[in-house]
Amino acid sequence: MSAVDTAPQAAQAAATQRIEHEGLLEVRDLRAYFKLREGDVKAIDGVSWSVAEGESLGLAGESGCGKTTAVLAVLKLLPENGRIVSGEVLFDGKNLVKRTEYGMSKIRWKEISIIFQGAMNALNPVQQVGRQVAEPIMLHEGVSEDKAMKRVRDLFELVGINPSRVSEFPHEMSGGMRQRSMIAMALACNPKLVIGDEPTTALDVMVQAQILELIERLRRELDLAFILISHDLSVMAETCDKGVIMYAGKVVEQGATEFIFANPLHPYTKQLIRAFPNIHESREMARSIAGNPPNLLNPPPGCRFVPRCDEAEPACFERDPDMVEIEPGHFVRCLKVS
Amino acid sequence: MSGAGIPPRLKRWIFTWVPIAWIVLELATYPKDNSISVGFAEIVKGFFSSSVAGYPAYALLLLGVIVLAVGAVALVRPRKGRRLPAALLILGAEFFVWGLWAAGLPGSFSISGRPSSLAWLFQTVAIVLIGACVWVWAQTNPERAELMVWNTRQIWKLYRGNWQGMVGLWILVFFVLVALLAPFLAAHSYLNPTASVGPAFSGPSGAYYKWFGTSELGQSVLAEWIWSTRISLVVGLMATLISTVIGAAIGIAAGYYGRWTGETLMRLTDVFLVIPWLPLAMVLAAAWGTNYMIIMLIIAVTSWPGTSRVVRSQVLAVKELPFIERARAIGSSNLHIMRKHILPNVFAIIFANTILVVAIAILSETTLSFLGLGDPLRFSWGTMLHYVWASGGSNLPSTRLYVLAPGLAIVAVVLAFTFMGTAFDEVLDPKLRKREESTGGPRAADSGASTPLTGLETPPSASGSLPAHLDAMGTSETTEGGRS
Repeated sequence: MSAVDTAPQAAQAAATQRIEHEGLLEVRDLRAYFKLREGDVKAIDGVSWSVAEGESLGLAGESGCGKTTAVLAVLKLLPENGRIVSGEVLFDGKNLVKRTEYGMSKIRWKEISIIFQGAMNALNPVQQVGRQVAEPIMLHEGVSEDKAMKRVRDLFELVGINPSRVSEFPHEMSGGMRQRSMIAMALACNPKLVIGDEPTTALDVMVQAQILELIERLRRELDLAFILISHDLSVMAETCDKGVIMYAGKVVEQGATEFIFANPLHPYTKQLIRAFPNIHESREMARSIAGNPPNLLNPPPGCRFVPRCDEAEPACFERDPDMVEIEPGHFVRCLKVS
Repeated sequence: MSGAGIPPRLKRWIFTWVPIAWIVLELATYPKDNSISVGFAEIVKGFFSSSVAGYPAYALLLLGVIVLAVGAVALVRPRKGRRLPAALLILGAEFFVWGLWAAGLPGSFSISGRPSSLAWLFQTVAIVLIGACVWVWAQTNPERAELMVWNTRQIWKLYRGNWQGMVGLWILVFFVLVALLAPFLAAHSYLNPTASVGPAFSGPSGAYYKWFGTSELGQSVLAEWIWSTRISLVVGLMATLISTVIGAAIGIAAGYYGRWTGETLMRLTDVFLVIPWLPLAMVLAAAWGTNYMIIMLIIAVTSWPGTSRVVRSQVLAVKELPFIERARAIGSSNLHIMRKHILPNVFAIIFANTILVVAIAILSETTLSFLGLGDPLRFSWGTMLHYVWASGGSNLPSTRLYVLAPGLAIVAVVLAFTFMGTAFDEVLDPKLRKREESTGGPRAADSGASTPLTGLETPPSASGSLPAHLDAMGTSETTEGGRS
């Protein structure tokens, strides 16, 4: 938090070295490929978005469209066969792409933390949950275990777990509690940005609602920037200021959530919204999107959504359109709209 | 929380095991010539003689430095108060002073040490201090102490219900007792080449030292056999310890780093695995000498690849679990992840494998000794077989026990360790255990293992982990390291 207090002077002093950036985290034209025997899978192919301090961003799209890869690339946590090919990740003006592994370990969790997909597995089964939550505190702040555990108790209180349960093992907790303790862990070092990678999958609907409410409350209380990865558009509509819709490794639509939901412009966004049952226009069955995303090993030229698009024109097969600003802050990648 | 005190059961364990450890260490270094005939007063005196606890000074100094360093680090970054670091520092200082004492005054400094009449006192204090350290640790970490006690009890409960494990344990206890009580069972002077108790190769007879007959020099086979037990067990256990440390370290590193680091390490392992170990061991023994310490090293150097392969395969499974990625995301270093997250998750398999390696190590020692590459100054079971074979006495009817005594002892000890290894495999692997319980054998009922420890059952004390974490390990390798 100290960075915030000294921000004016520090920013002035560092202005010369710093790269011009907007917001807390800015991803610029990021490309990350996975190497397979057959060639490179272009999992992320020129993605740009930004999150300002205290803002919440929703990343949506179907499975395999590169949502998780995008945030893992931000933290340079890609699996062994993955690599960042080009682009910039500016966090507070620092380009994370150029950082060494050691340099990243200072950023991870201290500044950016993740609530992982499926918290039940993100906890070491042979260690007490409290000690695991204390791990980043001891690691980054070099405090004693006693002090760290004290903080863990506070964190448990904050996320709504009885502090007396710090010495329990993961298997003694319910799924919701494990998820809560993962949230506690994500908050342990007072990060500026928290990434929730589908934080509510594998939880039942009641607990999902509780967890989302908790995240929302904590976000407001602690003034966190938050990136929510979800394939559940309703969750995104409810919690996020800004939305990014991704398809096949590219951003297809981006803007304030009101814009996206009130006025979806890209055919994919429209179909995605239609794929969820709407309580206002009842009796209409949710409609799935026919077909599958393209093979990213060798994507065809033209718009990537074209085979599944119901508004496609011949030109769509030839040229991949650029992002176009339709209204202030609302970008779309579609020939039809531009 | 720190005032909760130590679990009463652990308190009892400390009170039991500190004296047992003391007696074991005293007996291991007890004067070899104090046989039972010297009288009770002399025997008691033996416990405080100068040969007791005469460890080499460099080992003591090294140990002292290590403990002091650990204590100092703990003092700089106290985790739970300063009492445990203080206790560790006292213990380290004690080792250090002991080492200096053993090495002698500056004028006559000798790094290998010399017998001193106060060594037993240093040893006693050291053991008491170790007990005190455990005590302080338990006081400052009552939850973990409770958990450790609970886990140990659960494992023991399950182990007790396993007949193979218990048979193995009793056989082992017998041989350990023979090894420890050797000075009282047979005077060491009977191993002297000149100390004959009868004509060469005479058959067994009623006199105590002739129970197993006599050797080619007319020595007592019984005395040789008793003293052989020591060397065979010590070499087997120490070689295994070294081999496990090497194997586990290389296995974890190879599995965790993967890529070319892992490949290089595994190819190295393969090289050691495919070289026929016996010729390698013979060459090494010929080159390095045949001191029993060196034999130990040779066995360790040739027996680690099995362990490292088994450990690596388990690490490959564990490192793909999401909590490793989470640990990386937290900013943990590789070393930290391997130590805190990987090692605890593969520990069970290392442990089960270790016990099987002991059996292999004892067999290896026997083989080398039988081929005449054993320590010429000490008897081991293999050495006995070598002598009876080399002197051509192995076919005589009167030497039947000369051959059988060491032979059967080797078989028994190897069998014991194999039994124990299998038992631990079953105890530590819930999958093997589950199958057993579901068949509803009578064992599960009468073994006292009334709480089924399968899967994600919550333990009674609301703090316990063992079954679940082992379940979560996913694949379970059968522990079949080493050579076939």
